[in-house]
Amino acid sequence: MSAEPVATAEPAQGATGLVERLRQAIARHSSAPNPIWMREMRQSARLTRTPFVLMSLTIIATMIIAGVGGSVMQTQRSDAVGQALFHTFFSLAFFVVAWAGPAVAANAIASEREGRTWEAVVLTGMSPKTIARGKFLSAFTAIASYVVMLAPVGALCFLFGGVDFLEVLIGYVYLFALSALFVAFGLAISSKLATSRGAIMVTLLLSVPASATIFGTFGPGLGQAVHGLWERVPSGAPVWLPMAYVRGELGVEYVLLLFVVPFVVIAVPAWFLYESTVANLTEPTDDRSSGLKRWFIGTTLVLVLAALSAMIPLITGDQILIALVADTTLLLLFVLFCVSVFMGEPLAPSRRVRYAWDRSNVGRVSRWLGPGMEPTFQLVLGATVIALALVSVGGLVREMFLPRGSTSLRFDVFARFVSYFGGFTVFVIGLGAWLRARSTNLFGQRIVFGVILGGLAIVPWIIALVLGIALRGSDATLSFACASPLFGFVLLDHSANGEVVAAGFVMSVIFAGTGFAALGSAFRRARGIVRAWEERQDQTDAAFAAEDAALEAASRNAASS
Amino acid sequence: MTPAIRVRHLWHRFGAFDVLRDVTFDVGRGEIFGFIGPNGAGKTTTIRVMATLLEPTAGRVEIDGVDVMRDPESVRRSIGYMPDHAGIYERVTVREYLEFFAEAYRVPPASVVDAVLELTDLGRISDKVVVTMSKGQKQRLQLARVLLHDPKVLILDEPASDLDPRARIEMRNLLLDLRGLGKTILLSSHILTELSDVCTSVAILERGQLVVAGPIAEIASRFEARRAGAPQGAPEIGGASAAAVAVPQAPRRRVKLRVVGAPEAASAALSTAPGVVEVELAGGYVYATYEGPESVVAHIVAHLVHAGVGILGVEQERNELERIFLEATRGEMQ
Repeated sequence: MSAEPVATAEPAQGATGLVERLRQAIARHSSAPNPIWMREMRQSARLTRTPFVLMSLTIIATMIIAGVGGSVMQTQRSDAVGQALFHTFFSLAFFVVAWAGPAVAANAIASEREGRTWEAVVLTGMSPKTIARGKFLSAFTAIASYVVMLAPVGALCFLFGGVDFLEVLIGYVYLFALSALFVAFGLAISSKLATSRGAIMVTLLLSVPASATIFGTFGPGLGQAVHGLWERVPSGAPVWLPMAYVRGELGVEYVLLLFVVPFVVIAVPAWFLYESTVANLTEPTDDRSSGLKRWFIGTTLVLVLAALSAMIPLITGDQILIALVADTTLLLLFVLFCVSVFMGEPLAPSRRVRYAWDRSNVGRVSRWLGPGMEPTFQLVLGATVIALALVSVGGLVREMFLPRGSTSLRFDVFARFVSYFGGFTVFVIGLGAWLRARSTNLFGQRIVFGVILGGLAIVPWIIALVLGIALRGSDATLSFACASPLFGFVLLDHSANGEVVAAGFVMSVIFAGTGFAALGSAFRRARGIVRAWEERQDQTDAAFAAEDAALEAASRNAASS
Repeated sequence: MTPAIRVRHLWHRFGAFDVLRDVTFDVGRGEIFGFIGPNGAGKTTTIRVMATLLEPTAGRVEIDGVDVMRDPESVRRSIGYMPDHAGIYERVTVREYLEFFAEAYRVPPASVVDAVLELTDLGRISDKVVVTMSKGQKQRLQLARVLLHDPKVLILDEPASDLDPRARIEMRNLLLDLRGLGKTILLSSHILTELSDVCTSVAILERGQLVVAGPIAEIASRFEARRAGAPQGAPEIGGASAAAVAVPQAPRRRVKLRVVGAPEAASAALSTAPGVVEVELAGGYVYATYEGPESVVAHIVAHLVHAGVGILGVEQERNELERIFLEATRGEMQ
């Protein structure tokens, strides 16, 4: 019996064009679909409960839609009934995909670990990316079948009018996009946990409140604001987004709100969830970092571009200040999240990774983007500084082109805000690196990180409050809260007194200094540990080489005698 | 010729506990190598390092001349690893299961699956859904899976655990067939009778340390020589240092006797027999534990005949491998 590996349609070395690579990818997927996807589809087909679940779901949805339609028909015109059914159906479908999507996906990878089939799959040589894609496709197909089963129910709104075909079509596009996002979320959780039950529980505990918050914020909440922008979009409508494409007025806001924002809101988390799933599926001694670092760089770039483009429609200096503050805060939150993610970085690439690099002649930049604590935190620091600088410069440039007569940007206010937040960001990065270098308990150090930052946010205000009461409400006591990151917003007060401003400046210097010192200390410690480890490895390699040479000499002697 | 598996100075630490301590042994090409040890001895950790699933704290493992750390992808192509209590997808047929793994291994599914089905005698049930199969059939299917990419080395962790006697015999025969095809097989187990029928060489691991390694006959004769007080031979047996081989000065063995009449009389007579240190009665048999070489049995029989006890049968209780294991790990069991 012999089995030679089959030649697969891998991209040719010379094929660099995006179109050509895309064409090859489509050809590859159509000729040899993902084996995991195919296998899971076969397994699902033999699951007897699937048709009953789909049938029950359709019956429940039909009853809800019929109930809502019947009650609205008593008081409203036909087109209003159509709109009510449209909103009800898509709201219902949103919650179906938001709850069922992660729950179905949560089972995907955890069940392999629990069922002890995981190692067999890994040892076939299938890459974590292929496994992640196969798992995603199978879970997404299951959720998509739910949506497709519901489609005839959704078509009921056409009987009453009030909604356009295009609005329904766009609604479905978003439903499928959100399904993909929720499935990716479930997969990311599943890839981290060892049991299906735990994965399903965690995903539901997170997805139920998160979906309600997302629906409330981006649905009726943002719908109210959008109605202020475009009157034809119904006020406070929960499913305003598909309608806005048809009823909104073309302009910069149209592009930003209906293309840029949805793309960022869906693509950035989806990309992160994909990379974190792949990282979790990768062995700890392999390269789990490069994908996440690529995501970090890409997202930073997207955030900067989104922040700069959001300044285009602004017409006053005050609006630019608000945008700059919002962008800076968003960047800080993003960095905070990324630092907690990168606290899981190994101190240095493993031997296996370094051998793989050497074998593939990987360049210095790719190595710098690979595993290792020091380059990772260097990257986070560098990218953050550049992003903050670009956004600030963008604001200043935009201010130069404001229409005559509009209020100008209060640069002094923005400067003290951004310098404070810049200093605090350096502190956050330094703290993350310092904690990482001192512990191998990745979960514990993240808890400590959160506790320190949470304490820093709250405790200074308690001190300031106590002193304020003691000193009978003196403004100067506000300065005692300067160690809290929330103090940055106090600096936005145009009438902030000199002591407050000075306290903010001093604190920003302290934050930045502490951050850099912590980074330096973390890097020194990491280098020491890595050096000691490498010395041990060198000694072992030397011993092996000597042993090999002795064995070879012995066998030569035996052969000659 | 380089060995199929080469394990050198392997150390692994979980937290503050060394689960492997300087383990060194070789597995020759075409051998069926028994990897023996009590639960928790470090067998599975060693195997996981071999299977590229774990990076050791120190040491080196080479499979077919390739370092598992340097080129794990290449090693994965040359091994077939069947983990202990491995799971199996239940809602697929035998053929679908194998086709999935064939596609995953990137081998042509149609021809290879048919060949493997024939080799493992699963062709008759190729359309059977896995959930309806017996444990023995599932284990056979697992073995079929690891053969799909035609690996040179098979690493099987407790392949016969939970199997009924018939399935064990079938599995043993299949392993012998695979050896006939030129495969090198590393077989981990703590069931010694299962290994003694098929293995040509063994390594015994205890508390993370290699106690002894080498061909069974060589280890047995070496132990026998030591018991007889012969000069020490080579300082090492298959990589295990002489110091690590704990050979008792006075080995103990047990012999099972069936006697005519009441066994109590035989028991009383045996208590004064030369070399006998312990006598037990159980199920109508007399078990005599003795010290010294196998020739002591002849003295025991003579002693009983002299005492007027009729003997219907005499049986050494353990096989060679069991004896080696007991002697090598005496007092060190966990």
